[in-house]
Amino acid sequence: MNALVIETRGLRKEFSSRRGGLRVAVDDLDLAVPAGGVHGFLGPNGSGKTTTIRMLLGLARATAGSMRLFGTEVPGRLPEVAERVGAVVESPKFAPHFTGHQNLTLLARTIGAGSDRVDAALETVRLTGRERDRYKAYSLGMKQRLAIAATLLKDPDLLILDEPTNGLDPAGIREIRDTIRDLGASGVTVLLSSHILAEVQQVCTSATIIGNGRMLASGTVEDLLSTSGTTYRVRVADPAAAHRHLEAAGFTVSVGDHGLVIEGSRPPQDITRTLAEQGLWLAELTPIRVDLETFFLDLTRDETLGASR
Amino acid sequence: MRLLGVELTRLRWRRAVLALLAAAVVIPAFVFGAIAWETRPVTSADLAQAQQMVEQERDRGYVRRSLERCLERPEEFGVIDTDDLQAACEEVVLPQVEWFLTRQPLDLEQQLDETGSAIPVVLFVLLLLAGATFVGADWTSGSMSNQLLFEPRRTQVWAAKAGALVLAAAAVAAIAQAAFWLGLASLVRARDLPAPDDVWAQLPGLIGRGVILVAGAALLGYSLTMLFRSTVATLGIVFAVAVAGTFVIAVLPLGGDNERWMVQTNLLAFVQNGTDYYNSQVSVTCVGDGTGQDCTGLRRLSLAGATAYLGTLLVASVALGLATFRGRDVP
Repeated sequence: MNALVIETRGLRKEFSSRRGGLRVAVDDLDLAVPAGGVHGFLGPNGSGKTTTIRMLLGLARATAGSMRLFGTEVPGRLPEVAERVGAVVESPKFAPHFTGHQNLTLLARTIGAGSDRVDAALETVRLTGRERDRYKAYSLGMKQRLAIAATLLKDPDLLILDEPTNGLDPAGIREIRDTIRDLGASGVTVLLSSHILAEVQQVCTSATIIGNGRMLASGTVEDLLSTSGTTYRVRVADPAAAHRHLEAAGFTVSVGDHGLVIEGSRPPQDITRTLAEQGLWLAELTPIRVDLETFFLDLTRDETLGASR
Repeated sequence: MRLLGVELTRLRWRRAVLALLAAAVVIPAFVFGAIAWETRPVTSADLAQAQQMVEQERDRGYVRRSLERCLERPEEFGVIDTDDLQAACEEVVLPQVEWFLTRQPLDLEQQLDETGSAIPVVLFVLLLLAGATFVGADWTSGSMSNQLLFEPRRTQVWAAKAGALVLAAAAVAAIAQAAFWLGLASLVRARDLPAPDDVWAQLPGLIGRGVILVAGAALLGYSLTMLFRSTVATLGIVFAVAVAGTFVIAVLPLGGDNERWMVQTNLLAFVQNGTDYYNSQVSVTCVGDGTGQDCTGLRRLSLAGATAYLGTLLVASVALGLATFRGRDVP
C-alpha cells in the first residue's frame, strides 16, 4: 500500500457570519491521497474544495481535525515540508506592477533558488519572451501559466492545482493536461481540483468527491464508476415484445433514441437468455459506460439542491 | 537574512515606495535650497537697488515734512542733547539703506529650532505612507498568500518585511538629514558666518532622534496595514486619529494637561529633546499673589515622557499587527 501524501482526519472549518451565526465550510472530512499519480478533488461550487486546500497549505486555520502532508503534521510543522509542495490556489496572485520575471525571482530567492530556475520555469510554461512584461499586462492564460511556473520553482513532490486550466485556450489546456499526466507518471503526486470533469477523467487515477464540505465518495476512478452500475442498450426486431418480456423478468427498461435502455446490476447474459427464451434475437447489446460527469452530477445533485434550498 | 534580502529587493522594485523615499530626500533638499536663497549675502546689485529706493523715498513730501518738523521739535522724535541737530534728525527720519536690505543672514541656531524639527515631521508622514503602501500592495493583489506558499513561517515573513522597511526608512532619514545639515554647514563656512559650538553638539542627537522617529513611522504604517490589510484603511484610521483624536483628548478631564496627551505635542517633544506646553486649567484659574506661585501654566514634556507615549503606541500597533497576521486566515 502506498504511503499517504495528504491525510486529513475529522477536518472542520467554520466561518462566523456577520449576523453572528456559523457557516460550516468543511465538515468532518477524511481525505487520503496516496503517493504518486493524479488525484481529482471534485465538488460543486462552495463545496469546500478550496477551503480544504487553503487549510492544507497553512493559509486558513482549521476549526477542528488534523492534517498531514508527507506524514508531517501541518500547519504546525508545515515549514519542514513546504519546499516539497507546489500549489496554485484559486486565481493566480502576483504583484501587478512587477514583471513576470520579477515575480518569480522574488519567490525563487525566498527558497534560495537561482535565476536559472526562474528561466527554466518560464521556458516550461512558454512565457519566454514575455517575461519582462508587467504581470498586469498578461492575459488570463498567461497569468495561469505564470502561476504554474511558480510551482515548478520548487521542484515539488506534491503539486496542488486548483482549477489550473482556467482561462487557457484549448492548446494550453491540452498542454497543461499533458504536463499534469507526465508529472503524475514521474512520481509527483498531483491533487487536481477542477470543474472540467472530462479533463479530470482523462488524467486522474483516483478522485475524491465532496459536497457541502462532506466526503461523498473516494477511490480510483474505475472503482467509483463501477459503483454506479451498468446500463445496456438493446436492439431487437420487436422492441415492444422485448420491453414486455424484460420487464416481466424484473429488468428496469426504458425506450431510448436508439433502442431499449436497460438499467440494473444483473449480468448481460441474463438479458440474452431472457430474450432468447422468447425467440427474440439480439441485433445489438452494448454496455453504456457512465462517465465521471454523470456520476458526479448524480452524486452531488442532492447536495447542490440542499445547498440551494 | 535571505528573507530580508528578498524584502529589500521587493521594496526596491515597488515604484510607489521608491517615489516616497525619493520625496523624503528631495523635500529636505528643496528646503535647503529655499533657505540658501532666502539668506543669500547682499550683493552690490542689492545695495545699488536699496540706495535707489532710499533716494526715491527721501524725495517724497511726507519725508521732507517730517524732517522739517524734527528740526523744529526734535523732542517729538526723541532727538535730544545733540550738537548736530541736522544729522541727528536725518538719521531718525530719512530712510536708510539697511531698511531696504531685509534679508537676514543664515542663523544656524534659528534653523535648529525651526527647520530642524520640521524636517523629521515631514519625513515621518512620508515614511508612514511608504510603510502602508509597501505591504498594502501585497494585500490588494493577493500576492501575500503566494509568498506564504514559499515561506509559511508568518513571524519570519512579518519580521523580514518590517526589517526591510525600517532599514530603508532609517537610511533615508539619516541621509536626508545629514545632507541637509552638511549643506547648511557648508553655507555657513562659505559665507564666513558664526557657527556656535552648541549647535554642532546638538546635531547628532537631533538627527538620531529623527532617524528613530522616521523608522518608527515606517513600522507604524506597516503594522497598521498588516492589521487592516488595506492602505486606504490605514490612512483613514491615521487621519481619523489625527483629527478626531485631538478633539477627543481636548475634552477629556485630564486636569488641564490635555495638550500633553496629544500626538503632535509628543512628536515635537521627541524631536526637540523635550518641549513646553500649557496647562489650560492653571492658566485660567491661577491668580498671581506674589508668593512665587506659577501662574503661566507652562509645563515641560520631557524626551522620556514623549518616548514612552510614542513607544506605547508603536508597540501596541506592532503587537496587534503581528498577532493578527499570525492568527488570521490569509485571502
